[in-house]
Amino acid sequence: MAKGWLRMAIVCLCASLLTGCWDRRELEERTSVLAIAIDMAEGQKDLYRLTVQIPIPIKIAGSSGQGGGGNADAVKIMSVTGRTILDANNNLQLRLNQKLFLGHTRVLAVSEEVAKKGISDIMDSFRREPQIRRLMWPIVVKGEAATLLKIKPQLAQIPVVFLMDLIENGVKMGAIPDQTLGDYFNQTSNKSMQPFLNYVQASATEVRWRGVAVFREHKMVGTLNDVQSWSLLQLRNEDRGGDVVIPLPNTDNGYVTFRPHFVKTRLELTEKSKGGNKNNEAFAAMFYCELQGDIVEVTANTKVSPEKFIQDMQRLIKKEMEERAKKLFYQLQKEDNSDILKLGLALRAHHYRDYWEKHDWHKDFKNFPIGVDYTIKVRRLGMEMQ
Amino acid sequence: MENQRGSISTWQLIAILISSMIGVGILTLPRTATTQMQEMGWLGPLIGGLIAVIPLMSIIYLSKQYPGLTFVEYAPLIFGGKRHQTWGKILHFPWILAYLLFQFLNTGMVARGFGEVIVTTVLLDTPLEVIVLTLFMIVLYLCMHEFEVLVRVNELLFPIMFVPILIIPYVTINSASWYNLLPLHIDSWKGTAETAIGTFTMYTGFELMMIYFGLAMPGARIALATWGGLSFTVVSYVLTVAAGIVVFGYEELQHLIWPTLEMVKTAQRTGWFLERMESAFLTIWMASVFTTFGNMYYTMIYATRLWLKKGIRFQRIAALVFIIPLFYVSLGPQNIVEFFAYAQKLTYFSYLPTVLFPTLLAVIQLFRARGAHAVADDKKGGT
Repeated sequence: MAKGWLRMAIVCLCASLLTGCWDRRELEERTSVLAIAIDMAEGQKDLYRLTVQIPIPIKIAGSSGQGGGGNADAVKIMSVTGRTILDANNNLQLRLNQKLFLGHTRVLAVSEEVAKKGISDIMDSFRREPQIRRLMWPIVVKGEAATLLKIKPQLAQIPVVFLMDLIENGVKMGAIPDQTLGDYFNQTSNKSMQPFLNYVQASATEVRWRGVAVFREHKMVGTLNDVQSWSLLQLRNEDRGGDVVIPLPNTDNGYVTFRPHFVKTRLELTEKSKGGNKNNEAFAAMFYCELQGDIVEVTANTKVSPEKFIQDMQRLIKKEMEERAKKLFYQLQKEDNSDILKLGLALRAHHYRDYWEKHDWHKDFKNFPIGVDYTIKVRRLGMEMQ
Repeated sequence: MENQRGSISTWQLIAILISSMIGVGILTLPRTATTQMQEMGWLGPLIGGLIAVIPLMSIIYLSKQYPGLTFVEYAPLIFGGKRHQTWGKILHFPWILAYLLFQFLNTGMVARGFGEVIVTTVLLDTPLEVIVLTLFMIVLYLCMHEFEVLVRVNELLFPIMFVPILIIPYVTINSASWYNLLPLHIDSWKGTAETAIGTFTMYTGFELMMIYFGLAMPGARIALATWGGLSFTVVSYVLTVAAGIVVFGYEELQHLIWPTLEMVKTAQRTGWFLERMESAFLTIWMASVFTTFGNMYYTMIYATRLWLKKGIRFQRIAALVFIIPLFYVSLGPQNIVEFFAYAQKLTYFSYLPTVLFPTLLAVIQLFRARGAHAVADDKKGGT
């Protein structure tokens, strides 16, 4: 009898526990935010203006046969102000019928103004919130960040999807760095390196990738244009970057375009003892980068033999790439003073006792000798013979 | 009761050993191991595992000396010898009490740790009490049965444990930065020792074998089970820490409250069929927590039962009664910071029943065996 009662009790208990999650919340009971943009509120110094992009499921073409009315209304844009991000979030919640859900947020746009002021206070709530994905993309926007959410790209219904595709595709082609929120967190925590983020510009209908925003300790200190960013990608991530367009010497307005396909980078750290004094070791870094690729465009006749043409081009491209890299180093070292090359990480890994412990990398990076040596291997000339 | 003894196979012993060791701690391990040792954090669980070797050797030795007996039965024999059985009963009393107390407190902390993970990551609005209680209910059900059921549950859930351990390195490869593992340096030996002493807590659970070796089949290969189980656990811990360092770098790890979970969250673009892998990971991980938790609580109750020479009825009532204070223990820490502080204190306490106790028994037994070499009085079985 007692056993029967016990069984009854267990069955009842299980039945009551199996009914579902305690804090279950259905999909339609949530307001998914696809993107967040953060600006400074106009006129008020200490207020952030938070803009969110919320998709309207019923307006999206293809869903439930509605067909969607163009691409203008597929999303709703809302702006609120607040002293902190969560403050603004809560203010936004007051204007919404369902609970805000950040689990699907893919883009965090930060205006250049905010980025220059420093974003460590913004990032704090993103670190704590368990819904936030580390794979989200933080992006610095030139001018107002909210414009990035308001674009009407026409090619995609939801602006953020357009932006995401743009980045994803760029990452696949090796032309845009895949800098996620997780990467940013890791890089800001790491004592040996500095973070960077993608830098874009938005207009009413378009968005354009402009390069990379360089950070130093949560503060944006400068930007790299697309060409410099590609050099960075080649040296740092072994990504191939974009096409290299160079004016052909000795021709009338002729250009040659080189498309890298394979990149191999090796970083060599050398130490040279100055005058045999052990305490006066001077370290230097040397990037050896090998590019394999094709010539895809030559707009003027060079009138040389194919063998010589290849030789000339390799020399020309090598010179150009090395110049670009040197400009990149100059920008990073002298102007931004920010090691986004992961040079410090390599130094710490390989020369911990003899260098890292004795030097303050934050001060030393500025004057650290960095060299670069490109090896260009032109493999093909496209469908042309020359 | 007696006829069920001697039924655990070697494979089941391995399953119990590993399931008891791997539990809640693995979620915080990459952080706790790297706090002081930085890039060399993976060394922490390795040395911590070495600490566990000594008591494990003692346990094997004792089990070989007293085959078919559990520690509650052989401890008084060792302490008192044949002549002073009353002394043996008095002397072993505080040790067994410490052992049971540790199992009790540790069970509470495991339940709390499990609840905290769930509450901070998945079910944000669910009261902690509900999660802890649900866990208690299943364990209570488990305690209603003989130990055979526990053994089979362990055996059944054991293969699941392999999944996260194999997945973790696989998913980290994509976002790995190998430079994070360098340089190989040890800056402070004190820090190394502290890390090892701290990570040793990850191995607690092996002391349960003081019971289960006594219930093993006569021919079960105890030593093989022990070293096989320990090596597997060491390898999986070292891999987990190394993966954490490689993905995040040791600085970032210090910011993360559940780094292993965060690691699973980071790994998404691997063409995996699940969008949100952490839910799947948590489900699997729940099995491993359940076995740790269940084994500890069950063993505590079962050891008490053997100690007092009672039957299954006593076990059932005791399991029910002890759940109530256990509930208060697990909800004792008022916040997450306090919880980690409690767990830390428990680590220091754990050395008493898990290291000192078996080692002491083994040393005494060694002297006794040497002293009474001619008389084989240590082969006496039963009580």
